[in-house]
Amino acid sequence: MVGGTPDWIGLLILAVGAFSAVVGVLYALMQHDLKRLLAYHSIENIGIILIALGSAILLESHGAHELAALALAAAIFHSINHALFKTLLFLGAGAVLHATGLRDLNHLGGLGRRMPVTMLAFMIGAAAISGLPPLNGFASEWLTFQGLLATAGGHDIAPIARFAAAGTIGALALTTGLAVACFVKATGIAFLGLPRSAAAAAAQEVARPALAAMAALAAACVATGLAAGPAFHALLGVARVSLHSASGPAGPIPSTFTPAVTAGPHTDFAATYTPLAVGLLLILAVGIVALAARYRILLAARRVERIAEPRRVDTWACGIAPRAAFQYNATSYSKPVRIFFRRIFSPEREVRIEYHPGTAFPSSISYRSHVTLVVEDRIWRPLHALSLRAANFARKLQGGAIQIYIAYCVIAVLLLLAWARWS
Amino acid sequence: MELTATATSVFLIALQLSVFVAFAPFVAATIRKTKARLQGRRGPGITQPYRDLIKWWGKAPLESSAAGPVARYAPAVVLGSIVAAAVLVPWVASREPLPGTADLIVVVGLFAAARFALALAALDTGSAFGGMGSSRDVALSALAEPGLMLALAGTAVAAGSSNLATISAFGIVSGVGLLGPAHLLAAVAFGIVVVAETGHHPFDNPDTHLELTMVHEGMLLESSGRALATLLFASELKLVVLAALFSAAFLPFGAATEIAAGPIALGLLVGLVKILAVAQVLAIIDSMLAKSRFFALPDLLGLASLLALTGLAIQVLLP
Amino acid sequence: MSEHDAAAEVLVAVTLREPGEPVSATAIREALALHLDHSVSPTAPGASGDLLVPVMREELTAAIEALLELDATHVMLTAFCLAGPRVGRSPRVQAGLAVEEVMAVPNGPLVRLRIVLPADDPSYQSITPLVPAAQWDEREARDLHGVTPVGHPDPRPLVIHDAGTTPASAAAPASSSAATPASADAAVPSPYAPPPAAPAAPEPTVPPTTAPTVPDVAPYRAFVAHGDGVYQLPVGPIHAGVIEPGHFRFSAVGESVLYLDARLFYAHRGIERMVEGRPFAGALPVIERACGVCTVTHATAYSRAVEELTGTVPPARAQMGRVLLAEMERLYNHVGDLGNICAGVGFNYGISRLGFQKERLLRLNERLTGHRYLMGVVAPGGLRLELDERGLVGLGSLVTDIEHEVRATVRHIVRSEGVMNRLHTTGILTNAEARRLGALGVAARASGQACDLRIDRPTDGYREIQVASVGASSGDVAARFHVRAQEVGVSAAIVADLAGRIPDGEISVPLGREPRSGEVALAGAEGPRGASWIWLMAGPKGTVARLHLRSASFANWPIVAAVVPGNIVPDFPLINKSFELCYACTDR
Repeated sequence: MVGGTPDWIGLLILAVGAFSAVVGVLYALMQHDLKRLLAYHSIENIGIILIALGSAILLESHGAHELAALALAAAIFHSINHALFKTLLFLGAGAVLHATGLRDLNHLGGLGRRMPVTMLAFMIGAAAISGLPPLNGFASEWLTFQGLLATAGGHDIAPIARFAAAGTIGALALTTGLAVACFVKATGIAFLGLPRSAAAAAAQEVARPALAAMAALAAACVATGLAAGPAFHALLGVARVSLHSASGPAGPIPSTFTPAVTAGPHTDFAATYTPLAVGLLLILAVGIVALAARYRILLAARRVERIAEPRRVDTWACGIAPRAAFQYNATSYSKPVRIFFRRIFSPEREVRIEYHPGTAFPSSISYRSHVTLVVEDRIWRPLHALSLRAANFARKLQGGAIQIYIAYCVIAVLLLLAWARWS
Repeated sequence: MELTATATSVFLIALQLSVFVAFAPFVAATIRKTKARLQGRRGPGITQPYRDLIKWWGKAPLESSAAGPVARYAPAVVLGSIVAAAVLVPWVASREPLPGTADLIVVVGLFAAARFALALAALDTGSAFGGMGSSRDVALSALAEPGLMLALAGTAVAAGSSNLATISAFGIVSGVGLLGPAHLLAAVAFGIVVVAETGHHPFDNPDTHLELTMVHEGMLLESSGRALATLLFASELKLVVLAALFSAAFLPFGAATEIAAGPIALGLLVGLVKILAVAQVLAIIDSMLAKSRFFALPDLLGLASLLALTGLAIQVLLP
Repeated sequence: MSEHDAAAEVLVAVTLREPGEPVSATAIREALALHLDHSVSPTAPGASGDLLVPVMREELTAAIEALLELDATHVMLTAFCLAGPRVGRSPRVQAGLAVEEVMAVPNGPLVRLRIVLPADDPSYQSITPLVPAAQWDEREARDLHGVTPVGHPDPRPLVIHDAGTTPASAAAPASSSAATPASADAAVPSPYAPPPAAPAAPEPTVPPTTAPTVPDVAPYRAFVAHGDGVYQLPVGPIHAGVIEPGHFRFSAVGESVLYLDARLFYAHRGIERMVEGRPFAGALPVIERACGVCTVTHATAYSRAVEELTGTVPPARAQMGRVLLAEMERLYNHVGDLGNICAGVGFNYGISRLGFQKERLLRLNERLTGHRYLMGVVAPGGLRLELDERGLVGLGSLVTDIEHEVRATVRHIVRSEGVMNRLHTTGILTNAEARRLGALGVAARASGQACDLRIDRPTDGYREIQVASVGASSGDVAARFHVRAQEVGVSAAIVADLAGRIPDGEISVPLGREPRSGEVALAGAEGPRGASWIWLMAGPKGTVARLHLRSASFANWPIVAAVVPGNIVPDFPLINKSFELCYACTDR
């Protein structure tokens, strides 16, 4: 179904994808409502999926069937991964809401101390959606990058398409960078530091079944990440079938696969990523450092201090007692990005100062700010309204019961498979 | 000398890792020394970073009462990610130290993982300065990301692979022809990103005691003892790895193309010289430029992306 | 001259100001009479020619309005005691609590508006709404002397950090008597001590006055902004660098500062009280050490106040020597401060080059006086030490050489795009704000306010020489940078000019007459940071009854806090360094 499509459709999908990814993550960054933040990340991830799809179309229409299959597989893989980590994150947000009654990050904080399992699961989801190796989000983003690199480097592909793919590499890189910023914010402000409200201070860990669901999804994110090779190759088969049923005879499908994700060994573009090796390396390196620090086994053997265990002290606040109000909050955290991209957000702020009568001495200062998307106002409003509705709908789907989520996952996979089969 | 593939890998990893680890504080020392000389000071001795690390490593850290496991284990994740990246980048030879892994996107991803861990740890202590440094760091790094990826993508497109060993080997084979405008633009873009990622002027002031202006240092303010030693060593190592990445992607000349004593020794020597050269350039930039206005930095990073994109465009549109 | 110098020239205008029409005492009297609906009889005690105008406390604001119409500016406000055995002593117990607001009429005399407060109600209508520059003066007088400015927009304590407790060693001098319970002063409550728990029987030696208890002030709470996303950023009192203590509480959203609450007086040592009762000569070393980098300024202001009280005229050599020393002090401060601005933007070239030149100047100081920071030279009656001949020889050419080096470095800095980009439009103090808040010194001149005691009210050798006035209009960090750089040139020229032609003769004369107890003199000196003023009341037998030191830093600190909102957090250190104020001589 993808093959034989004219270039402009591929380019359009690529452009829409890049735009949606960047704008989605930027808008997500501006949110301090945890669920809205996650909902906007869906726009971002759909953008990433569209990017992969766009490069698949461009590659296929220029005869790079194997690479096109790779890009299409990347799109499918990312949809599945997105389903996994986004469900996990929404469950985490739900747990936070359940425990505190709050969704506003500016009132959360310090939840990790009382909800350690939720924090760990949420953190894994955050790392996955931020595209950090060796988790599943990285694997599918790596494939998407490979699709783009192959498009940009494809000698038979029209220069305009190659250039578009090159530009999209920048957009995708920016997206992943901003996603890191956004999820450090979401995780750090909600779970770390001191609680910013009484409700946050009194939070209780959610019930076991909910924890089990999150743990299972977190494990799935890790497992899919480490087993990205086999998973990808299975999807590659699906992608090949779907492409070739539309564009003619299939090439030979190799019967054996290395556990590595391989970006098309049969073409002039090749790259490998071995998630298991990287994962093991990472675990080894982190483990050695952590153990060395814990048991002070390197260099410091002779310099054993009397106080071997870390001591607890208050956070340094320049000589005064630390307070929750001294912490950065969600709005402040994303302020640099808001100002970097002020042309897109056209941020408005209102600082209301009341003065002592007859003087220029303030008696109270209050602050309010508002962010609008200029592009949205001028160009994007209809589509935005649609995506908002979609996000709201997505929120409605968050019933809170784990069975429903698992059902969603299963249905998504089945639909994808069915769609691949039909087309 | 004929070695099996496994033995070669083990040898390369061991060589590279031990040189990097032993060498990283020295590189930091040369930067300090050059800066001091340029300012007319004598500066601390070349062994000072080693002494500092040993001193801090021998001390138990003070942990914030607000912080939990994230702050405690983040230093290990930060250093572990950088060490992992250090193993992946081909440096002495233009071949993968660990087969199937030397991918530039993976290296970039590992740096992102380190940043993620450090930025989270900075939020864990509930310190205003930690949050401030964290917020600035992730924002600047996000903007540096396109320049980084586009610059590396240029070399990847030219070499037909995102594998750093392939890129490195391609660079050695194509030789001087590589020094075209596209390559130069990408190299400059990558250079700007290196300055940003290592926290030198005009992005960050590594020597400042002014908490309000800190980026990277702000995130380390709550660290002490072994945790501080770990994080400082991680940033020293990160500079070396970035320099090695620069050399693999843009200046691969000198790296051994075959595993034999002579080429390896030469590759080691040239590799060390290249890393030191990058460090000296950073030191000179530090002495010549002031720290820029914070909100002027996106322009510089945008410029890096634009340069790299132009390089790619030249490559794509002018065959 | 390079194009950059030319550019700097556009910004910084060096002019010799024409003196305006003098305003006579009669004119002031008439203006006051018009506003007060009755004639006033200002007296001019002492040689300083200032007018003492006693007014009713209800009339104070009207009198100030009259002076404001004459463009008068705030100089200082202080409280003291007029009657009883402890005349002049920091009051709060005896009858006759008095407050003096000193204002300077341009081209006219200083006017001291004095109100006497009843002991049972030591309050008066706050003048801060009229004269915002008096905001900290009034709070300080309330904290230390118990005079309450009613209607002050900021009623929080200033000097006292926790109501009822003693900040630092402030109470120590007072308790030199309090420590000996048998003494007559024992029952005098320290202004810092909590009120006596039980109504103890008053000591018979103390007049039964209704002593006001500890100032009725709420505990200090940082003033912060509110709203979604606003956080508070505490900086200090303990800083990462080796600098003086001060607590700055930013209300900020991310990088943008909404409000800055500055809390100082951690270094309050009770210097003013420490010198009470000391002979004039004995108070000098204490005043001189109020801060380490305005030594000559404070010593000169104090010496001149004593000289006015005693009718002493220092010899010509001492008068010129004081000018030389004051300019040397300005030179090393300005050169160091230019370097500090470079440190604020992390410009290593400027930091090291200017730091080197500052060190050269400090060594010149040492050769000249034996002290790198010029302590122990200026004294009432002239100079305490002969200026070292070897130090004077070649001083002019050395200073000129240093000035050349500084100018070359400044030129290099001005050429550096990155540095100047940081300095321009950062920390703007508008002309109107500078005037409203009573900015002094470089800060005022960089905002287009012509205010320089060396020109406006020259004393000592300044009457003999022409001081070029330097100014800029943009009021940002760059303007303060340029003004300082230009003033280095002006000061170096003065030193080069004077070093060779300091008149020969005595360096000191004995003090003249013994002042009457209760006599007051006011003297100011233009230091590196602006005008510092000494208000000195004589006690019996040539002692200090009460002294008030209002340093330029005291005047400018509230302005730093007012300038910062609207800037971004990482620019605060730069703005702070462009003012480069002392904490010690603010806190005293």
